[in-house]
Amino acid sequence: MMNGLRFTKVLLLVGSVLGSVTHAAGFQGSVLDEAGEPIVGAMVTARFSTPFQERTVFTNDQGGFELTGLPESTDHLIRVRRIGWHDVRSGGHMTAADELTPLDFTMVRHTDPALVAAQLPANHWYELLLNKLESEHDREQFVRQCTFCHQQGNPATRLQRDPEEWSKILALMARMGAGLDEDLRERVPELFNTAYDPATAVPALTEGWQDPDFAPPPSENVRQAVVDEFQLGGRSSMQHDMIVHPSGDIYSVDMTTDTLFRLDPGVPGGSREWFSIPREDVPLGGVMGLAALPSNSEMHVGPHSLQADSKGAIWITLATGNRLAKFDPSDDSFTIEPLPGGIYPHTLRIDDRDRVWYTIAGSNHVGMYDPDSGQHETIRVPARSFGEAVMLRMIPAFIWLSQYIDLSGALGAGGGEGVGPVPYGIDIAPNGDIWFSQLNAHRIGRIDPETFEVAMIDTPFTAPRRMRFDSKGNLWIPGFSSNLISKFNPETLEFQSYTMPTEPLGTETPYSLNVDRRTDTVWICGTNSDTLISFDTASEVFTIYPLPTQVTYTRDIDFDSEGRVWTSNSNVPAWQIETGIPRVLRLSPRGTPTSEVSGGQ
Amino acid sequence: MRWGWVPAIRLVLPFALTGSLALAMGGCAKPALSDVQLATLKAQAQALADNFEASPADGSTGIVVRLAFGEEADLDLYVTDPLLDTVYFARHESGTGGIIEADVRCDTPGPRIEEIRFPDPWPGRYRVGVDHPQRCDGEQSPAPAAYAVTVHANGETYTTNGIVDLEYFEVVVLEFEIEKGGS
Ligand code: HEC
Repeated sequence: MMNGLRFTKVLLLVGSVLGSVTHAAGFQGSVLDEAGEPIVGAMVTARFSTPFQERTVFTNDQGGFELTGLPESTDHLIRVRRIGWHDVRSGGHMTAADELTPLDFTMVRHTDPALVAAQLPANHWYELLLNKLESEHDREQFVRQCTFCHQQGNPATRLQRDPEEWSKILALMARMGAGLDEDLRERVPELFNTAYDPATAVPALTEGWQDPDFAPPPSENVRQAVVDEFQLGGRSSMQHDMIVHPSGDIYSVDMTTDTLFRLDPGVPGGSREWFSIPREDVPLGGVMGLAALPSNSEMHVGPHSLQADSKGAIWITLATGNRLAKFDPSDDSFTIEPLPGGIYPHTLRIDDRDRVWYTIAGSNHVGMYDPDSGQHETIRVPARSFGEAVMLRMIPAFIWLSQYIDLSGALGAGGGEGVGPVPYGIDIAPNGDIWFSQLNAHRIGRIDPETFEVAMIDTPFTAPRRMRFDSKGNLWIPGFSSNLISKFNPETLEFQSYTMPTEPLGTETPYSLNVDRRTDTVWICGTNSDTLISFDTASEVFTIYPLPTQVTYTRDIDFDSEGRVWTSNSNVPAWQIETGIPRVLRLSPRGTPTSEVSGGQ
Repeated sequence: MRWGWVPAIRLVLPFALTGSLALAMGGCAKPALSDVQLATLKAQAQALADNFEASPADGSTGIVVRLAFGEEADLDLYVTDPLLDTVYFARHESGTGGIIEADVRCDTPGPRIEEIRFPDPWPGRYRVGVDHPQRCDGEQSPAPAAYAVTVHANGETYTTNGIVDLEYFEVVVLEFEIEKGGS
């Protein structure tokens, strides 16, 4: 049974209420260049409501577009965007009931290649830096350690800075958990400045930019897609993970403000409610007293991941609070469940007996909590060596000891072999087995759900992150620092890997994936390239969907019952995101949604 | 603001996920601060605060936040504006126009004062943080350093002071509110 306290809803604020959506209301028109030629694949975005929703469509072969399903009589702000042309922005556009208001745009070609380079997603810039990292060891380490909170190569991270400023940034990042080996850390400031020097970077990035095949438009199939973005939270937010609840509501956890958000996409513009997660007595920075927090952080308990159980209750890992939270949508109340052991509960899944399984990243455990019986299990998973095992076992003692012994520096050192194994992704196989990954140890493991026995398997690639099963029992795993996804067959223990198609090749950092089990389509986060990427497991074909907002850092994916793909932009710090505002977003691969609300799968 | 030396747990766990739980746990005995050392640090912090009067911020309008510290350490000033956007040594301008002209470091001659200005401040809440990223004298952790912070706004001045350990980020040293219509 729950032994935690019970809290009631703390704060409730409902978002905008606008006119109703009539599917015919919207805009229709074309996007042409100055010579009257169609611009194919331009992204036309309408922003409406406060807090805002943005809906984006792509222009077709004739440059035509239809932006439908918008609320009527609303003042829309329109942006038209295509790499190679100046953005068009234009406000005050009104929609009318039951008609598509005509709206045409002329785009003006860029003349300054620096402005074209600035339009490219971060991964294009990132390649310039990666090319300077000669050894695979350095490259892998840099990608794994530097790309897990924010993009690399985005405007804030590619500035020219004096070397001492870079060194201080690297030291700060190391204290936040992004340690690099000493020698790499010493070389990186100079590499940043040479790789990102506009004098060489801009020509390299924009070579042939006047040619039609520079930044080609997405395929016709991709251009069917509609992207909806819903503003959620503010600049101190980190919308870490989100889910589509069976009710059709979207829930998102904002890690750095200790907030659970609920978004009803059925209301035009989206209606938002937020609930402060009880902090109990946990101080700013969490139970561990983190030595470096984001400067604008309000994080005490640090909600990280969430999942709904069979009754619709939402379970949340409170990473820095070392707790689980349960949110009951029927009365909007929280129940807090303290954990018996381990440090930093991370990603969770719920089995068909409503038991909560979660990786415990800091102390190398996997936890299980059975709310019916009150049973807790804290399963120690293997370390890489005897020495590591001893160290991990001593962590509780070290924490106690640190009152008397200074451990700083010693603990946050390099990013290579010196870092902990870090149990990370977790998923439940169709046969009930529990599988998890160890990010830094480059392996996955299986836990017997009855005996809790553990077996480990090395992955033939680095940094297995957030993984999922398909309907046939294959486990799909993204290799965060290895630019691939891999299919693992638990019967034959074989891996089959597929290189990410993102161009320039080798620059993707797939943080997470999810499998739509109705079609066994794998959807992958194009975390460093502002994209979502699908992989058809039957034809083994990737499809890349560009997303409209620059610096869209995605971490988790979920589906609604209509097969639409949901994710959140959780780049932290949020000020690096274009507009500075985090969003949850929905990609409708087959066009404008006919119904705005549909439950999770 | 923390007065005195509270032992900070320094296991480096990132806030977003644990990418780096390093295992080479060495460590040296933490010297407990004696009453004399604490008194000395407090006196240093007070002296830094008093020194603000000797080198006042120029009389420009808007908000001026200043951090004073001694030559033994490099301290960094962070100011988060009402947009929840931060100005600090690695982000030279915030969304509401806050700016840092220079990062004052070990090679900067004394008196060491780091300054962030908001020439045309937005109303709302501001947060001031102080980080202690490195020593200039090679002293080992915890190596607490004294500092003073002053805020000038609306013709008024508010000063506070404190002590911060090496490699510790005091995220909230003080918060203040600028009302609508004020500057
Ligand atoms: C654990 C999350 C995390 C990781 C991993 C991380 N960063 Fe950061 N980074 C941040 C945060 C948060 C800030 C803003 C600092 C603040 O709020 O005080 C930041 C700021 C920066 C900045 C300054 C620009 C700005 O927007 O403030 C640069 C440059 C940067 N990081 C580069 C890196 C590099 C290089 C690495 C790898 C060594 C890295 N980051 C890894 C979280 C992270």
